[in-house]
Amino acid sequence: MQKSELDNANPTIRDVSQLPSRRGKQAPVRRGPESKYDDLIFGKKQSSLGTFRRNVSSWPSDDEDEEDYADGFTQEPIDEQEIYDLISTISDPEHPHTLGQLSVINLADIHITPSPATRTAPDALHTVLVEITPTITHCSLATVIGLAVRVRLERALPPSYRVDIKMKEGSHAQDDQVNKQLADKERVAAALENDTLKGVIDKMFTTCTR
Amino acid sequence: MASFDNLALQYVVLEDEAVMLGLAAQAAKAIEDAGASRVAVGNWAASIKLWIAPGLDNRGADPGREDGESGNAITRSKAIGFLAATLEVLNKDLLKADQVDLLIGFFGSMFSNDHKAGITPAAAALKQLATAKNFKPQMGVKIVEDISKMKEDFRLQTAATRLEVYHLLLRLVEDPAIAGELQHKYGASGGFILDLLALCQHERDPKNLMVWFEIIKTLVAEYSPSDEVTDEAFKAFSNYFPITLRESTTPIGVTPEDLKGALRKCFSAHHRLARLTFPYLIQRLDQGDSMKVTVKNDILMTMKACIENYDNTHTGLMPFIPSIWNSLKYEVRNGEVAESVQGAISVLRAVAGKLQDDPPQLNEYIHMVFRDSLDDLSEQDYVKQAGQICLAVISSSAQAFVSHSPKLVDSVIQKIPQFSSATYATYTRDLLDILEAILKARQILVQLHPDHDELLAAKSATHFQNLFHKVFLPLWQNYAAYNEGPELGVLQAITSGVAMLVSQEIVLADGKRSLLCSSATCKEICSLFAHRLLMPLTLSPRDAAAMVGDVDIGLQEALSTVVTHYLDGFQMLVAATTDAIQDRDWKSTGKRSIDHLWQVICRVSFTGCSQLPHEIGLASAKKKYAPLHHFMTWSGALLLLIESFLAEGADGDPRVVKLMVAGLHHSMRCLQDACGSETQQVNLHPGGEETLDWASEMKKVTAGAEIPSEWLRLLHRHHPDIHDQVWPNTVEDAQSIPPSAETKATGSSRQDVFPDFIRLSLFIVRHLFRRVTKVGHDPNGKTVRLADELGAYSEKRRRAILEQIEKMAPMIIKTLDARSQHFYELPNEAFRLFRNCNIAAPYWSVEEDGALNFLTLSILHGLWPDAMTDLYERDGIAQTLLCNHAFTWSGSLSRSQAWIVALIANKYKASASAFDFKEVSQFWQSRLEQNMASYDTKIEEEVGIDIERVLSILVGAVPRQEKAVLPLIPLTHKVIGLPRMGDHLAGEIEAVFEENMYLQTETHAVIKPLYKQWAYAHLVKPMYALATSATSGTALSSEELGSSAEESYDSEKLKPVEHYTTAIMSILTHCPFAIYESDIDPLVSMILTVLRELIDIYHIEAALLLLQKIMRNDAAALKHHLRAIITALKEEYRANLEADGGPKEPGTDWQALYVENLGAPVEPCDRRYQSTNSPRPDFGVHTQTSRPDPCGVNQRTRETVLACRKMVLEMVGEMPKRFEERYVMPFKGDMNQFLDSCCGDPVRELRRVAVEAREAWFALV
Repeated sequence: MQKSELDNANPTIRDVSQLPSRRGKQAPVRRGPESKYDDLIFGKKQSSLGTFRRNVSSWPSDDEDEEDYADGFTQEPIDEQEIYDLISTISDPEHPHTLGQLSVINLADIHITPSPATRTAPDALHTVLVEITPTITHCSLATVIGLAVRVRLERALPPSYRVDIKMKEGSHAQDDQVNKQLADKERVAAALENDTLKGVIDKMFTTCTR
Repeated sequence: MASFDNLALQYVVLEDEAVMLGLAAQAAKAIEDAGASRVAVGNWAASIKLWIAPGLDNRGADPGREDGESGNAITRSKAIGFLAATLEVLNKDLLKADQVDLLIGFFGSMFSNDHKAGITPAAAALKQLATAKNFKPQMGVKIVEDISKMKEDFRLQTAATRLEVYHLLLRLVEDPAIAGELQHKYGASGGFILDLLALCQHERDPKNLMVWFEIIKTLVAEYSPSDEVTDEAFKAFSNYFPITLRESTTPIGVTPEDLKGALRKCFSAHHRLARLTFPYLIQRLDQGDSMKVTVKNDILMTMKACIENYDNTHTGLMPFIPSIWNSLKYEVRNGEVAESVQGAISVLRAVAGKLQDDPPQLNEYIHMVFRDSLDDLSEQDYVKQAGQICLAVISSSAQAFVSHSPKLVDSVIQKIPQFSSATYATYTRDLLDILEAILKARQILVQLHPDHDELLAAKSATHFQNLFHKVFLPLWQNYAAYNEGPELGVLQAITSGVAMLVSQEIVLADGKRSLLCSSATCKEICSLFAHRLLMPLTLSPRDAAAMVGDVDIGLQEALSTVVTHYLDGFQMLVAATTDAIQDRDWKSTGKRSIDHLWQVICRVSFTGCSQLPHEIGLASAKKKYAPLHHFMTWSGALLLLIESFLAEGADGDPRVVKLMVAGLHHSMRCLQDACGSETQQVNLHPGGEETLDWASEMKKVTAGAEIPSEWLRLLHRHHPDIHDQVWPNTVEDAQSIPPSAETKATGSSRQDVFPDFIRLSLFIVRHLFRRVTKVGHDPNGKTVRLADELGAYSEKRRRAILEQIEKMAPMIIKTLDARSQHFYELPNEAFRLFRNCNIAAPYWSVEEDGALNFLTLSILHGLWPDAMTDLYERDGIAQTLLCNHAFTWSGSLSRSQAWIVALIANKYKASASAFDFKEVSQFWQSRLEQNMASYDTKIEEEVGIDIERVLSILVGAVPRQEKAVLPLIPLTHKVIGLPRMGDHLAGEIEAVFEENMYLQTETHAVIKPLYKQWAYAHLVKPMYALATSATSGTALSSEELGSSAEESYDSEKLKPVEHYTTAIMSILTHCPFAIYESDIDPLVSMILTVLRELIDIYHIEAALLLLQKIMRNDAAALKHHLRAIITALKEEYRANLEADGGPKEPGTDWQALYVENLGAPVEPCDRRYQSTNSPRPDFGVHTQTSRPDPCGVNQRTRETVLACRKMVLEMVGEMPKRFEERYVMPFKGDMNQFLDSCCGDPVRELRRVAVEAREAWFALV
């Protein structure tokens, strides 16, 4: 897979801070210098001593003082941003940038059916369609990128999610062939038997740890 | 003679350096004994002829004798070394001039005759001879000449030899007498310098270079070489520029920075180098962008060193100023590396600094800089750089600042756009930053030159005086409406600029120091900022919530600086705050309004108390203010507000009262930090027999200074006796303040203020305690009761206020030393609560729901054990409390009582008058033994009295490693084994090991460093046997447990033996791994049992935590249990997911797959899985909540449920890394399948952990 020349020697690169991210949607809590003593003044950490078990239920609950529930633990379905976070961090096989930075993967090109907004049974079948936009129309590595995206999603999504990878229409000269290749389970399985190809894909995943 | 020969022979033969030095010392002594007679010195010198003569004779005679020659060279070198070593210890004053001359001749000849062996010892010997009394400068010249004779052979010498020669040379050239002789002999031509430069031109060794550069520097600076010689010298050292050092693994003792510094000294040695240095450096600098940043910085630093060190500015600097400026302005204007830009600016500042003694030249230079830079102030891209340059040149000296700052300020003001615009916001901000930097520069110059009349004169600062009205105020009005975006940057620049403006000082015509801004301007500023600061209260809650950007504009910091300089300003702010709070209708206000109130309280508190008043503020104020004035003003206002809200009775909002108390606490914290005395202990004991008198304490605090009206009103209303004593004296005191008080009021250090702060805070605590209590009249006498106003509130709200007071008091009390705590009678006040009443059993408050116990706890929390000795007297308060089973039965309030007992048990100190702690132990021992049989039949609350009290005693005494409590431990074990009651204690026993806020060393609790180990051995270890007794058949029988009752627990309750498991698990989560490291085996089986059988989610959490700790610390111990662990974790995850509202039944094939286990089957009789297909029905006693919850579990429980699930995934994910491949490989397929399903967890964070875990397993090959 080593190529002496790059397909696209000068791709457009987006700054990491410009990429779609869930963090940006939550306004950071800003606190002034005067709030540094809040924990000391209102510290709520209490020992269990003196709250003999029978009393737990009668402990008066001071509703207004209770902190909001920790955000990290709310139930949220898998959405497009989550899929984007999973695959946009994959490295490009020929550039030292991620697929997100190169706009090969775009948030708008990820589709989940049925939509995460609609409440479905947890085990209902979902389809994830990812449309890939190669940096140039004759990109010879489009299949490798598509394969990497497929493998990444298959490893990271539960079995009730079907993964569909396609070249975005008009973005690749031979999109039909590439799409066919990526949809063929036999060929995907065979490709992963190839140690060289597997090595390339593993290398692409090295930037995926969050 | 024979002795010298002998000594020389031994010296040559031996290798031991210490012995060799001894031999040299013997030789030196022999010479000294002989009075350095000709014979003795001759014999000593001749003692080495054996090695000298053949070597010299045979040198080069027979090339075939190379080996022998090298051998000879070594011995010859040692022989000459013998002479050098002797000289080192010899009293050189004894040597006569001819002897010195002869010796110099001998050693000097080595440089031309014996390049192989003689140079190192000869150089060492000559260095010694150069210190001889009879050493003549001519001799020095001869040595220099001899050295020069080495020519090309010099560079063939080893580095160490060369270093010896360099040191010799340096010594010689630094000697003024030799320097004079050299210059006399060689004149301006300095021929010897050229010889030396030629000799050393190939030097590469870093250590040698350090000395060589020093020699060159001396030659250029101290000698007067001709231009030709100077050129050569410059060439010699500039060839090394820029110097670097290859990284080496072996340290050589010289860093690249050392070398750069040494070379820089060569460049800056003398102004006669200027004609070469500046063109050379500028040419290097102008080479362009290809240059490395480090090189550029080196050039700039060298240039700066040259400017600063060259003496003659007329020849050494002025001719080069235009070229320096032309080169550096480009660097500053277009430079991208901040360090280089700063370097260039510091060079430009150095030029101005050097010219400060030549005003016409300085003005010319500044005009040149202004001419090129002021226009750049109009350019958005260059404004910052232009400002930096201009400021750098004018801030170089006070005179330059006085002369040129008006022009710069005017230029900046003219450029500021007088309209708000997002496009120009950043530009405006940059211009404001320049203004602030100019003000900052003035402040620094004033600090550096406090006596510079012109700088401090009011007329020199007129261009600053109208800045507020001309610049800051109009901009503020234009931008004030913005809440976000770059416009906030402008507001931020305004606040910090205004703060800097207010802190400027001037000297008035009468010589008095004053603030630059007039009182009216300061007042206007305070009013403007106060208006903004109070907006959360004055706007509607919705509008106030939108003002998120206020944190970013630095309003509090700015206003804080303003009020520390203009002290009257804070009074205005406090008055406005009080009005705003009182104007608001707090009834039926929402949480948001309460949040805004707290926001404002914090801000005002921070503004007034986070800095002590500035010296100039105190000196220029019209009234005589104490350093604590702001704190007094604000605390007085808060206390009055508390009064007014309490006066409203049940109609008032207790939440507001609570926040007022919290505000007092906040201001105390701020001021403590401002004093920088967080850990300091203060002694407020006046000494002697003086008794406590609060009026005199308050007088000490005010010390004749102005008392804020708030405090006067408060004292008048609630402490009229103190008011009468403090107030009438104020006027007199103000007129005749003793010298110490004068110092205190004006120039007090932070340390001086701290004791007064503590005194005043203690008074506030006392006041609050008295305010929330009243004296009741009981048949027993006067007792403390809850004040009527608080009694009107609900228990919940009342508790919140009292708890807030409880959190505040220890912070003050703990800073007092034991003697002072005793002086203020704090141990007794803990039970009297600063009221004049009887202290009688049961000592604590058993009425009004025991609410006042919070106050008792609050004082005890901060006391030193040494201060509490009276409490521990026989049959005294402590003993009664410890051996007392009276308890308040009001739900949560038992917590305060439990901690009072724990604190008293902890701070006990054995003494002659104190009771024996064994008595406490015996009391509870007999009570438990007596009642044990009935514990399982009585109602839980009654039993709780005993169990809770024993537990509290353990919690307090165990950290102190009190041996007297050991007999209670077996009884504790028995209670844990009780079928009905045991699980309560099992769940709570962890309190003995748990971190808590009351037992902290900083609040003087007694905590032995190894108490956990001690407690583990006594309390936990025995429980292992009890916990495993279910299978081994050694369980305590029901008789042993003291229970005659029937087994009343059902399948949902724990078996008694499981209580021990629960207790162990919960305790160990608070212990470091090393403590239970040796008991991993029984622990692991216990953990697996818990995961398999227990129904309480908190027990499961403890088990998982423990398992995770073990896996992270000693995974090898788990390798044989891996199958069971994996099975248990998977089951835990599945059950946990179901309980969290996940799929109730495995609906699809894939779910069915992971429910199935691989090897070890799940016990079908497992209680938890009896209802496998339904969600976990109950999470134990914690689910007895009245709060509705969509998931059927309360919030904390749900948090625990998710934390457990996360821990399972984390552990599973860590397994491939923690265990050898052969142990985990068999599970790969199943784990992949399991984690596949986990990737669909309903919680996103857990999906993330699952994906990581899956990757870890996938990587396993």
